[in-house]
Amino acid sequence: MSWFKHFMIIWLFVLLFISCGVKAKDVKSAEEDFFEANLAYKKDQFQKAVDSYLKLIKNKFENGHIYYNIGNAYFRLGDIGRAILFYERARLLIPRDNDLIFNLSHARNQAVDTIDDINTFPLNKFFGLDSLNLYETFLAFTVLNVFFFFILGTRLFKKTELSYYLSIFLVIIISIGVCVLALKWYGWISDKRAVILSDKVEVLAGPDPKDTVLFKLHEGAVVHYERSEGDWVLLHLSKDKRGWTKSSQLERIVIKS
Amino acid sequence: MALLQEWTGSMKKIALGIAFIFLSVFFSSWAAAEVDVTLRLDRVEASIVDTVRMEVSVSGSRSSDATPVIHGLEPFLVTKDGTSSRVSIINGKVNAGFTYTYFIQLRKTGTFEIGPAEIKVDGRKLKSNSVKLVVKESSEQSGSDRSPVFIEASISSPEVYVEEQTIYILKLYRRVNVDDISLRLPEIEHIVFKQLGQSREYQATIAGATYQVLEIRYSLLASKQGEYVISPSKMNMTVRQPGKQSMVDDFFKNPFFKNPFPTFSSGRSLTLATSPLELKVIALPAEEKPTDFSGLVGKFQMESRLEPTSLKAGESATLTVQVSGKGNVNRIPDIDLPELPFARTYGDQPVLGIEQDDYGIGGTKTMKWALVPEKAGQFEIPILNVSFFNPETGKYNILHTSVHTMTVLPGTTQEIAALHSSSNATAAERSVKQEIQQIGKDILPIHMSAGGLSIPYRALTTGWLFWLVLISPASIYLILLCGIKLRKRSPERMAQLRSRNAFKKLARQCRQDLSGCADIIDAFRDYLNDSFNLSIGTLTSDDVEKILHAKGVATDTAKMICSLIQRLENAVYARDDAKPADAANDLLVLVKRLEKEIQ
Repeated sequence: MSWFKHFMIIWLFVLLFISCGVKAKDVKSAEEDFFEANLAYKKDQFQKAVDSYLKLIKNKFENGHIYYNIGNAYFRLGDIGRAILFYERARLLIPRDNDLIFNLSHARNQAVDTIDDINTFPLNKFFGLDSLNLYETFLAFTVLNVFFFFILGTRLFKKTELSYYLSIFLVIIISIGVCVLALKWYGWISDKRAVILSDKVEVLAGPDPKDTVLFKLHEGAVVHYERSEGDWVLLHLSKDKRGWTKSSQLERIVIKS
Repeated sequence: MALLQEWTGSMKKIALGIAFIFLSVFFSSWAAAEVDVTLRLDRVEASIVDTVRMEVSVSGSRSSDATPVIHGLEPFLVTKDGTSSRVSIINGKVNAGFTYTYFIQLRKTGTFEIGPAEIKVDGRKLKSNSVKLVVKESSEQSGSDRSPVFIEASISSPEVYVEEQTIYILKLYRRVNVDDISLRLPEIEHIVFKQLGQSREYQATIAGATYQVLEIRYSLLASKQGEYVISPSKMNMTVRQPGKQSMVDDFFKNPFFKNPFPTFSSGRSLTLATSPLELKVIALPAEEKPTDFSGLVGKFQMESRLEPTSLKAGESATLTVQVSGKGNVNRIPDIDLPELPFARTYGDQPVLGIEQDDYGIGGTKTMKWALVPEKAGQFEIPILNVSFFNPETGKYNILHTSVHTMTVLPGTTQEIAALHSSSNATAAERSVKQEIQQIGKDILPIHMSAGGLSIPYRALTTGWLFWLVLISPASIYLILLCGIKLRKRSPERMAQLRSRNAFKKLARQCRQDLSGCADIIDAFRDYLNDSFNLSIGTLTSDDVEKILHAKGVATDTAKMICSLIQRLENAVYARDDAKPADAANDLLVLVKRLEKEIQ
């Protein structure tokens, strides 16, 4: 069994190397910036708070709570469009946060246009995926995956009836897990929602200011981004409500790096 | 055969019976039907060049004694189109009737009363209703310079108040066949167009030429004061032009023949535009504006009723208030009923019904409250008000509900208790438990803790770490599997296995099969052959010592095994007294020791 021991030692060294290789960040300084931003918000200096939170995100410190706080600051500034945009971004990361759900609903009520959840797959509800973010889904799958192969590994050395039935059960669960993860992943990469940021946006029949105005949208409306041509983007709300508008008037929820 | 005849006979009787029942129902219900005459015009407002379709319908009879005499048609030229009859059976009730159709060509402007139509049916003289017809001047050009297709737009009033509706009428006149008609209305900020009903078609005669007219009406509502220019409405269509006549067509022109095939026509795309129209929108006057004015503009009336007016304490009465009229009905406010000191009130959700006709959009808003008096006496329901602006008079008006008095008789405790347990349980529950009311609305505060300022588990899902985490369990498993498989096939492992199997075999033989010392020697020889992959035919103690030494067995053990083999050889060849069972046991112990030393 000595070869197995050697293998495990090498593996541990690899993991140690990985953990050491992760770039160390100046977390303490970021925490101070976060505290400063919160203080600015408390003193009703909402623009300063927004700037500080955005600086954190620029420095790669981001999570759902920071996006939520930015949403709050924009709401206080009266910028409903950006408030909804950042609440939606926060919802991708902390979907079960009750404060966020409440504030997003309140911000939507303040918007002129009716806003529905337009990115929900029917299967997402069935699997309860709307209440998990992508990373949590992946972690759950990883745990399941490790457990499955651990059970298979033990069967290499000792075959028991319990491990046999457990491995069959895990095969089924893993298969479902793969589907769920793929679904969540697809939902993430195909999320083309965007939020209208200008007070009033005219949606035209083509990418030209001379084109016919098809309909109007107001800040906070959530639309589907389709494609862009120069400064113009093609968006749609439904099959019969699609058209072109200036790209500066909206921003996508999922930031593609 | 007799059976078949009997069956046919009985079927005939059944069929006759059914026919009799059907006819008796048909004639009895017909006989009972009431004869009624109605006069209808396809519209009540027309221009002098239009042709109006008029129908005189008689229901409840299948024929008349003479054609109807219609009063009020003297100023017009009337052409009879034809008569149609109808019979319908609905829920066993037979309804027969017939209709006379006429076309009225208008000759002068003004308001005319057409009707009544008098008709004699079954010896009885019947009279219809009368209808008012308003004839206006033709909106624009009239003369011979008209093209075969043209459009016109007009508005009913060029000067309106903010949110007062005016009617935008669009007419397409055509003398040739057109199809694929599409319309693009002007888009003006602060002005909303809403189509009134379906488009209608009729005929008009202009400069002696008959045109088919397509009329579409829109309600036009301006939300901001100012002087607007209503830009042209554009209509796209394909005009069908008759194809050229061929020789075959000339041949078929002979009245003796008639071309059974229609001539193919070609299409030409055509876009028509109306002239721009001016609309002046005046602001509502600030003077005398009621404080509770909701922006309601038009002509409205209010009705209210209380049912029942007399009841016992604990019983429920319904107060209904209806505001109806023409105008921007969506501005009709939801009236608040003040709290009543003598009764509990439960308001229903107000219902707004919207209606459209040629003169615009109108509707009725119905608001209802359930009033449950709690004490006996005579009580007055407070008067409720709604204010609106009347564009015709240019003044604000206030509508009031009627004065309603509720007489409440003393109710028994049981009745009040019964009320609580009745189907209206929700309302009763509300009286016991107070509903939490939302007083203000605001967002919840920021999160003070950001939990490590990073997205948990995000690192797992990015770059090579993602694949490492995803694939490593499977790869570890596969490495283990391959290692085990390879290990099983290594020479050392094979030798071990051989040795183990040889020992097992020897042990089995020593315990069961051996009957003499020669057998023990053979069994040990087989063990050595199997274990060390040898092929010894006859085993001697000298061979044993050499082999064991070669395989690294300790000298003591080798000597002990050699002496045992010698002992067994003596027993076989010199007939020494040796017990095979004891010798086998000794051999097993020694081989066990040997196995350990080899490993």
